[in-house]
Amino acid sequence: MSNPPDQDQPTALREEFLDRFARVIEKCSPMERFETLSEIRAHLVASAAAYEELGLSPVEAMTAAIDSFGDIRKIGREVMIESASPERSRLSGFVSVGVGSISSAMLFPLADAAFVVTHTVSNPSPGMAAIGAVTGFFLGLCLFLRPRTLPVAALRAGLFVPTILLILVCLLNRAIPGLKFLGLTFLGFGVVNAMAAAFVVRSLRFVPTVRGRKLSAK
Amino acid sequence: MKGNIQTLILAVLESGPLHGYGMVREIQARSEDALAFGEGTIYPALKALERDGFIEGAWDTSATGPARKVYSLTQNGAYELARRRDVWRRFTHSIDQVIGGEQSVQPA
Repeated sequence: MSNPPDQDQPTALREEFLDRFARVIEKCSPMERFETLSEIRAHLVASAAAYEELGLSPVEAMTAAIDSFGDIRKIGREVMIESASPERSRLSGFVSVGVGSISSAMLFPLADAAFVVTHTVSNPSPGMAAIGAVTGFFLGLCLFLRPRTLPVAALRAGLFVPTILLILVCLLNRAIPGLKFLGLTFLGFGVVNAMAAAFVVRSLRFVPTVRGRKLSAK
Repeated sequence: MKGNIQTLILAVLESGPLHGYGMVREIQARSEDALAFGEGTIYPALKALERDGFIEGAWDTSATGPARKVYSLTQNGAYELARRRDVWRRFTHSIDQVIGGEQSVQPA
């Protein structure tokens, strides 16, 4: 026997809201996500019941409860940040930086051998491995850090602006033909690095973040 | 408001354990509805306070309806509340000292 439509509709509204919230906090661990959604479900039920006592219909009451809850994107993001343990955040940083550094250190000499060797140094090139490792380290670091604070935003800009300038210089410098390939290599493997690190971080459900808590007055 | 919601939560939990919606209602009641905020903003604050060991949550399945997580103040939370109260009182005292309030402004 199915419930009357008037009872189903508030439940559908509530569950649709919770589905949207679940998508925002998808990077939380399954247990954390389940507990958070259960807690919010109980909140909405209690809130809607209070609105019903004021004389609203069940549908109006659930709509009002959802409206009173606030911006789910903003709340979800904050829940995700607060749910990440310091150990997990630290680990995600090591993973990002590690993946970036190691893959760059391996890929840059290969690129050097494939594209630049005739114009620059011998094959394989330890210099390119060092450049790759340093570049990968900073790319990983940038992926790990989120620009919640001015120094982090400055660090990002400080890395990417010189990299882009380097690429432009290399592309425009016709006098040394090999260097244009070096510029393209930087660009290509920089993107590959960032994607690889992002994939690992995402698949392990880490939440890359830097806590901005130090900024808020306690 | 955002920076103070954790303090408000600690304060309402001093009277006894509450679930999330109960805290929202208590804050609104104590402030006579003067403190308006999105009710959901309480949850990130609860996560932070629980992680820092100032409150602890336990699931209550005894009531009718969905299970609710009920929070209570820990010993560390009580100390933290006392500290935050002290900071807040010194802050409001300093502001009072600057802006005054009893003297009427005389035109020049």
